[in-house]
Amino acid sequence: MTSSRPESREIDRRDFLRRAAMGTAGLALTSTLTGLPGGPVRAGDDLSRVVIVTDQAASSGITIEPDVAAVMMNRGVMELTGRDSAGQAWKSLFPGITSGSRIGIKVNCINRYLSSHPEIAQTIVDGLATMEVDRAPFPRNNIIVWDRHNYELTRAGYSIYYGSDPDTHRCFGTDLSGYSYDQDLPITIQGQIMYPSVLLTQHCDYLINLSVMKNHTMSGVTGSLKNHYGSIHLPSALHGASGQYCDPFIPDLNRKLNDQLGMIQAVNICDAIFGIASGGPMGNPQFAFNGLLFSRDPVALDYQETQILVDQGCGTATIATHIDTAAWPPYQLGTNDPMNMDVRYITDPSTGAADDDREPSRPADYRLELAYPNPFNAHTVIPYVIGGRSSVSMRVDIYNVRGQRVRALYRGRREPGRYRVVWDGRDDRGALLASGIYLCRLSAAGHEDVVKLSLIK
Amino acid sequence: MQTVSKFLSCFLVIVLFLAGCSKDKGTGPEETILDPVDLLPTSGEISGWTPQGAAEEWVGEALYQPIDGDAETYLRHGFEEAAFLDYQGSGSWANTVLSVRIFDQGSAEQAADLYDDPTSGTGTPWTGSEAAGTEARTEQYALSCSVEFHEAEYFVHVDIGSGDDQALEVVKLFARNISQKIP
Repeated sequence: MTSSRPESREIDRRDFLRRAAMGTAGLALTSTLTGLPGGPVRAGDDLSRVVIVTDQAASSGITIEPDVAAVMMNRGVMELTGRDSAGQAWKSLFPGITSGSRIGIKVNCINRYLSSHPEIAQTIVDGLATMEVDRAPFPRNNIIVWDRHNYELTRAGYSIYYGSDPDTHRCFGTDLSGYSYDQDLPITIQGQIMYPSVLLTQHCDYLINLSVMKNHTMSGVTGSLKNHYGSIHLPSALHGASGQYCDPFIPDLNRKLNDQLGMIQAVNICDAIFGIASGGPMGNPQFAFNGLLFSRDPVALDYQETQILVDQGCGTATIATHIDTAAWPPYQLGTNDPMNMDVRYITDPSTGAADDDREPSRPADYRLELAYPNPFNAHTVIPYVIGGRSSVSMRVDIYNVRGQRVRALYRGRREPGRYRVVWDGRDDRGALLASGIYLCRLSAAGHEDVVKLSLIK
Repeated sequence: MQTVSKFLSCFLVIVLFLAGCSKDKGTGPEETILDPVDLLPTSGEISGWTPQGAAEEWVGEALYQPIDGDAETYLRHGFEEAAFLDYQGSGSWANTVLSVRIFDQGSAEQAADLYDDPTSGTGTPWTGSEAAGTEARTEQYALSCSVEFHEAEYFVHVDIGSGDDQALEVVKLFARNISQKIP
C-alpha cells in the first residue's frame, strides 16, 4: 500500500495488456493529480482497489433513498473485499474482531448542508450488524458514529445517543461530557502539538472513515485524508501559510495517527451521493453524483474523488497537493498513481442493470475542452472527451510551436467518457520548459483535436 | 444675542459631531457602520421566508469553529466578524432552506480583495441596475444556486438549496435586501 517517488518508470506492452485485461480503470502512464507519478508499478493483488458504486435512484432532489443506498453500500463492500455476502464482506475488514470490539465511524459534519449523511452512516451500521461474530450478530451498541461536536452532528440530522441498548448504535461528538481530547497521547504535526479525540484513542478498536465529497478552498478537496482534521483538538492550526494548502499537515497527521496511535482504519468510504465542486467546503450541495466510493487506501480514494470533482468543474483540484505528498516518503499512505489502482465501477446495483445496458449520454465525439488555468504557471488541467461506444487507443501529447513533441501526457485505452489530464509544464525528462505557447493534441480513433496552452513562468 | 447665537451654533456642531462619533466604530461623523447581524433580513421582511432561530455571530478566529479551514481565506483578508442565519421557505419553497452569511472584512478594500481571491467562488457576473453590491456574481448548479457580492466592508454570500431560475431570483432578492441596508 505504499508508493515512492520513482526516478523513471517504464511499462512494457505485456504488463499494459495485463492491466487492461484486469479491467483497471483510469490507466495513465504519466498523468497523476499533479503530474507527478506516485510510485513504482505494482502488480496483481498489490494494486489499491477502489470501488465506485453509482445508482441514479439513490437520490430524489436533495433526499437520499435509504433502501437504494443500503444496496449500494453492501455491494460496494462486497466488491472491495471479494466476498459473496455483506456480512462476510464487512467482517473481513476487521481482522481479529470479537463481540467486544468497538467500531468507530468518523463522519464529517462541519457543513450542515452537505455532511456525511446520516442515511449513509446508517447503512454502514446496518451492514456491520449483519456480521456474525462469536456466533452472534455484532452488537449495534459497539458501533459509535462520531465527529467533533454534538451540535454539528445534530444539525446534520444525526440523533445523539450514548446509552447502552445493545440494539442501538451510539452517536455523539468528542465534546460529549466524559469524553474529550486525549492529553496523554499528544502528537506533533509539523511542530504543532495536537491532542487526538479519546474516541480514537480509547473507545474504538477499528475505524471506518466516512468522508463526504467536496472541494475545499484551503486543501483543494476534502476527503478521507482531511476528514481526520475532525479527530484532533485544534485543526485550525494545521492549515499552514497562504499557498501551503494544508500540505504536508494532512499527510503528517494521518501518518502519525497510524504510527503513534496505532489507528486501525479498516476502510475509507466517501459519501458521494451529492457534491460541492466550487466554493466549498461550505454551502449547499451543487450536484448529485449518486455514488459511494470505497477503498482501503485513503490516497487512492481521494485521488478518485478528485477526478470526479474535476469532471464536475472543480477548479481547486490542482492545489490538492497533499494527496501526492501522502503517497511519497516519508508518509507513504497509499498510491496517487492510477497505474497502481484497480478501479471497479458498479452502476445501478438496485436495478441490476448491467453497465453495457446504460446509455449515460455518451459523448458523440473526441475532443479537448478548455484547459484551466490557461495561461498557467505550475499546472494546467486539460479536460477531454472520448466518444463512441467502445474503448479506443488514444494519446495526449504536448508539442512546442515548432511541432516537436515535448511531452507524452497519456497513452493507453479509454472507455467513452470524460477525463482530464494534468500538465506540469515539464518535458518528458522532467525539465521545466520555457515560457511560451504550447499545443496539446488529442489523438483517438482517427480523430484529432488541438488546444493552445500558454505557459508563463 | 449674537454671542448666544454663536455659542448655540457651536454647541449644536459639537453635539452633532459627538453623535456621529458614537456610532459603533467611531470612524467619522458621516459614516454609519452596522454589525453584520443588523443587515440580516428580519422575520416578515421577505415574504415566504422565516428565520430559523437566532443568528450565529462569530468574531475573529472563532470563525474556525463553524467553517474550519475555510476561515483562513476570510482571516487573510481582514475578517472581523460575521453573522450567519438560515431561512425556511414556505408554500412552494416549503422544503427549501436558504442561508445567508455576512462577513465584515474591516474595510472596503479587504472585502474587494476577498471577492477577488482566487480561492473564493467564481460564477457569472451579476451586473445592471438590479444587481446588489459593488460587484456581484451568481452561481447556479443542479441542486443549488448562490449570490456573492461585496459592498463597503461587507462580503455577503446567499445560498439556496434549489438550482432553478426561481431559486436564483430568491437569492437575488435577499442580496438586494441586504445591499439596501448597507449605508
